[in-house]
Amino acid sequence: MNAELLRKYLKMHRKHITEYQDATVVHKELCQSQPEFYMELLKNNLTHLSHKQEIFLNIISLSCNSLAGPQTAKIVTFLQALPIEQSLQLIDILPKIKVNCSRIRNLGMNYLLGHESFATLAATKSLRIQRLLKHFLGERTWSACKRFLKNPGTHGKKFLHHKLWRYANNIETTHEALCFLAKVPYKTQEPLLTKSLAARKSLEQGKGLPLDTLFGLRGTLHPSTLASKVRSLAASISRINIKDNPLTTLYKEVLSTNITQAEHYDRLPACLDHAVKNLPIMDQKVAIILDISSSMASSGERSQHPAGLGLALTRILQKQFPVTSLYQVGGTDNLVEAAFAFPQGQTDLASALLEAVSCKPDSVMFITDGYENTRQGDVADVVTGMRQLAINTPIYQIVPLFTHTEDLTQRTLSADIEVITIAHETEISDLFAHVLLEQTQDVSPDKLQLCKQLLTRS
Amino acid sequence: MAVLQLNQIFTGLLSGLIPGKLQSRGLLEILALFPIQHNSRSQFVPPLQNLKLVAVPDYGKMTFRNTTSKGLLILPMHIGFFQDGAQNHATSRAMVLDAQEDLTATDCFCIQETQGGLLDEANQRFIVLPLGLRPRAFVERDEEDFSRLWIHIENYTRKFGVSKSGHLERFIRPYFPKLQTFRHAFETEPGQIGAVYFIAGQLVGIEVAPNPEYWQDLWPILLIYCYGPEVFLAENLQSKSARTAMDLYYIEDLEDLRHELRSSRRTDLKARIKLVDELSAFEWKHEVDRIQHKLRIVNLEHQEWAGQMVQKDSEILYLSLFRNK
Repeated sequence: MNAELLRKYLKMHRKHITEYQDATVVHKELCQSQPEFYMELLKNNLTHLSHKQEIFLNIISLSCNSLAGPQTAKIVTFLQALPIEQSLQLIDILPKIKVNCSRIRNLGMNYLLGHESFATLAATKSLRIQRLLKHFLGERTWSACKRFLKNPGTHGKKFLHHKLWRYANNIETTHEALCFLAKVPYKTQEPLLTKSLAARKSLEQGKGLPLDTLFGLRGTLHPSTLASKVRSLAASISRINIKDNPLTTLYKEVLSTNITQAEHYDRLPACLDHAVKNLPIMDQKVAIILDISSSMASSGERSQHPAGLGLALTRILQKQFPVTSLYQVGGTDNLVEAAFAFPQGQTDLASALLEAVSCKPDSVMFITDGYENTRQGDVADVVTGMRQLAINTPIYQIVPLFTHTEDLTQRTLSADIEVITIAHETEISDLFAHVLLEQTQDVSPDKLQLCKQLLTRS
Repeated sequence: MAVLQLNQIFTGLLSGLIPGKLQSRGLLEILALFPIQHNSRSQFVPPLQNLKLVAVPDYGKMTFRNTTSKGLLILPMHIGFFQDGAQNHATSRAMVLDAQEDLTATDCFCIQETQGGLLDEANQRFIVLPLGLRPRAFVERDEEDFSRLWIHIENYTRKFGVSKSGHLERFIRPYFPKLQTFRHAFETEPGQIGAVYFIAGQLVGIEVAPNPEYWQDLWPILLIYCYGPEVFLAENLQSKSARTAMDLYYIEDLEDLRHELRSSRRTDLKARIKLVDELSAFEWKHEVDRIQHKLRIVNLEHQEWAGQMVQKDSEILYLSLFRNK
């Protein structure tokens, strides 16, 4: 397989597909050359939805047009194994682009009715599921289904079997869910369906349903209910969408309390072992430039997150890349000797870069929040100078983030540096995939397998 | 500790201080200031933990308390307090409070024209007035008309396209997320007690605190509320960064590149230090505003510059100088 193709994909897969001119060409070529590997890319949580939808469309179009691609049953099984919201986001693209041949119908109906959580989907996302059913079956067939669900008769039973039950995983539950969707009176056993049904009469009875479902019911049936009331009835979800991995947690704990105890040193090896689980040992020689200046301490709810995650990433890289050199910018202690260092000082990244490249590493990795201030623009100038001197060492800027929605427009060091954002230490596998494909023309089957492992690691 | 750059020791007004490294981001450059000799001056407590707004007896009046049991508190110039449902207020000058002392300033500004209600007692964070308002606030000190800054706030916020009337919060609230990035972009060094601010290469302000702990409290507030807004105005005016770009034309190896990096940085640093040195050597017009707890609060003026300092004998404990552009 052509490594350049994969490199291009890795470069763009986290941003919207429209940001890259030749994205669809890259997708098509990847799909043609390695369809099985290509489908596995759907499992990567960091990939932008637009790329996932493109992958999905390419896979089903390959499946429809040739025998080379994965067959429908395999695609359905794959989709059903994905988290519900992710797979629904993929299926949603089909009505949007108005694709509805018999194979697509087959795929869609098998996915929906064969899903073990179909009843949950019906209870919590009824309008979305109805829209999908209408699309796959056609509006008239869905109307007929509703009619026959109410009054089956002999003809109706045959019809329902042909149109619905043959796809069902569990006919009884599917029947209940479809009656719920078709608003046909039916005694349901499924607790969520019962609750959602009761909420149609009184919103209070839907206590514990997801917020979106309750707001949907309010919009259609209970418009006078206050939004605050709806919020109080909804199932509680944590507002903070972040749960740190053990190594980051340990570093943040130390940095927040400003105290290092024996217990912290004891926990460190186990946390590090956990963090590097399933990560390969790499033979490249890398230079790590760790920014542990004051700004890495951050503030508010992000307090110590960039520094904690940055330290965790450094230790992971040091463990998995046996030949590393560490260049530290700022910080209270020297991390070559000490296990912990606290954020302090200024961010002179350009001098550290010059020092790092003089040792001729295979690649340079900045771990920084991107707030270069001694002086802003110096790294970009140094990189331009390096390229002028034909020093083409790949350089990465790894940005430890609190959330992927942070705006990095003012925080990228140079247009010639690849930016990789990381919000959890597990996401470091994306960086490993980049390094794995460096300076390679062809990807061997072993490397491809490793790459797949890295890109689907969670 | 600071590295003495270019062996420069300031003379004149800033004598006793040496420059540290120059940090720059976009149009804003900050030159760190350090004392020549380390002196903890631990008798001066930092303001965030020890300043309490006790009461606002009437519009334009604020009572402060130094909550520490031991130590003097220098109240920085032009600090403001925001609360929902009450008229926001700001001070017009620097003050000194002894431990546990309550002090009422009767020459404060209301900074929220149409809001009624008096601020409640609070141990809360304060802001510093934006640089563009400070020269006016300095001129209007010692007067007791609480509404005297409204028209200037209106003129100032209009530059940002914010609706008219004397409401400072109508500018700060929507701009706060952008302003906060300055707090992350710049950093302090251990032992630092002050900084000089440049926008697009022009010297616009100098701030000095009694000790590093005090500076740790004050610097993010100055960056976010005082100097940050001025950067936005300069950006709107399409001002150009004064950074000296590296000349990469003649480089032949990494050593040349390293040399060029050092040289361009040194050029910038030298130019900024020269500006500070010139300013420091001005013949400043001194006027003792008041004496509190044996410390002199002195008004300083020279051409377009104004500000205040707090002195013990000839030693500067606190300094805030700003340029009226």
